[in-house]
Amino acid sequence: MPMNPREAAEAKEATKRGPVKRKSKRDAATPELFAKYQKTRDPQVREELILAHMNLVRYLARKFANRGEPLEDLTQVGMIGLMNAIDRFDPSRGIRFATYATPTIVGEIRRYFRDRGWAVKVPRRLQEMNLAANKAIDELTQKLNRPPTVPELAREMEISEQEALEAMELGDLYELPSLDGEMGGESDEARSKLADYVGQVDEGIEKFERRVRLAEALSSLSPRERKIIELRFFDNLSQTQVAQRLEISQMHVSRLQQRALAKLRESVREQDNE
Amino acid sequence: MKTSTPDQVEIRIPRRAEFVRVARMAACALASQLEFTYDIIKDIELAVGEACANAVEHVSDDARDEIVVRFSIDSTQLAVEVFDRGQGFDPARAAEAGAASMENWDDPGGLGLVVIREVMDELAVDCDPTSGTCVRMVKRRSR
Repeated sequence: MPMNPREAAEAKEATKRGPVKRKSKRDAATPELFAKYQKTRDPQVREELILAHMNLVRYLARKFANRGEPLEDLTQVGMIGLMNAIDRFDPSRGIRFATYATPTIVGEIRRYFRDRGWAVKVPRRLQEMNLAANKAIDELTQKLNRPPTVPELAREMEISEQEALEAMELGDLYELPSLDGEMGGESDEARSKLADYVGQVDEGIEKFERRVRLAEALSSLSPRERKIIELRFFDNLSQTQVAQRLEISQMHVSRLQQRALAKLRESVREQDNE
Repeated sequence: MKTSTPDQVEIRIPRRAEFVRVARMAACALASQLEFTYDIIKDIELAVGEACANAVEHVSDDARDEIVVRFSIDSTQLAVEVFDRGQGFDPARAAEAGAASMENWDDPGGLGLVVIREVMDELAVDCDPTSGTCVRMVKRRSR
C-alpha cells in the first residue's frame, strides 16, 4: 500500500480530533482557503482544509461500514484520500471539491478492503456468522418458545438487522473451501493452507496503522523468528519453502511462526495500551 | 463465448427508505450468481442502495409511489436499472447541489452518483420530467 508512516500518523492524528466544530463561516471560506493553499502550500491552511472536509470522509466511510471493518479504520484510510485530493485539487477548474475528492476517498477505502484480502476473509466471517445465527436461533427458540424474529436475532447477536439477514440468507451462498484445505496447484510450493492465508491477513500485517508499530514489535523477536516472519509474510514463501531455506522441518517452522505471531500480537497490543 | 439473452429480475418496492434494503439484498443474491468476489458484490450492493436512496429522496406527488429495480444478468455482466417516477433531476446539478450542502452530510444527494460511478463500470442517468428518472449501471465480470 502506498502509505508511508508519516501519512498514516497524520491520518490517525486528524481522525482523533473528532468531528469539526463547525464555524458558520468555514464553508463559505473554503474556496478562498483552497486558493490560498494552492499558492502558499502552507501546512496550517492544509490542516484547516482537512478539518473542514472531515465530515465528507465520515459520510463516505459510513457507506462502507456494513462490511465488518471498524468505521474508525475506514475513516482513517479515507483521510489519506482526502489529503491527496487536497494536495491535487485545482480550484480554478470549476469543479466542486467534494465532487473531486469523493472518487479519491472512495478509492482509498476500497483499496483498503482489497489489500486486506477481504474477499477471502469476509465470506469466512459470514459463514461463521451464519453458524452463530443458527445457534442463536436455537437458543432464542428455547427461551421464547417460538422462533425469534429478525430484530430479536439481531439484538441477541449484537449486529444490525441487515447483517443478521445476510448471515442467514447469504452465509451459505458461498462455496467455501475448507479452512484446512490446501489452496493452489499441485506443486509443493504452491500449496499453502487457507488457514495460513487467513491468519496472515488477520495478523494485520497489511493494516497500515499497525505497520508503523510493527517495526517496533519485530524487534521483540529472536533473529530466527524474525527471519521466519520475513520469509513468510514479506517474501510470501510457504511454510515448506521456509523450512527448506532454513533447513528445519515444516512443523518446526509452524511452531516458530505461531510463537512469533503471538509475540507480535502481544507487542502490538501493549503499544495499543500505552 | 456466446452471450445469451440476459435473465431478468424485476422488483418493485415502495418508495420508502426501509424498503431499499430489499433491493440491496436482491443485488447481493444476483451478484453472487455471477461469482463476483465478495468486495465487488458489496460494491454492487452499495451502488444499488445509492440509486434507490436517490429515488427515495425525489419528492413526488405521483400516486405511483414506487421504485422499480430491474436486474439483467448474463454470463458477462450484471446490469441494474433503477426507475422512479420522481420529477427527475439533473445529475450534474444534483452532484453540485450535493457537494454544496456541506451543512448536511447525511443528505448530500448527488454524491451518491459520484460513488456509483466510482464502484461500477458504467453509469448512465436518464431524466425525464414526465416519465421519471432511470439510473442504469453495469458491472462486468473481469475474468
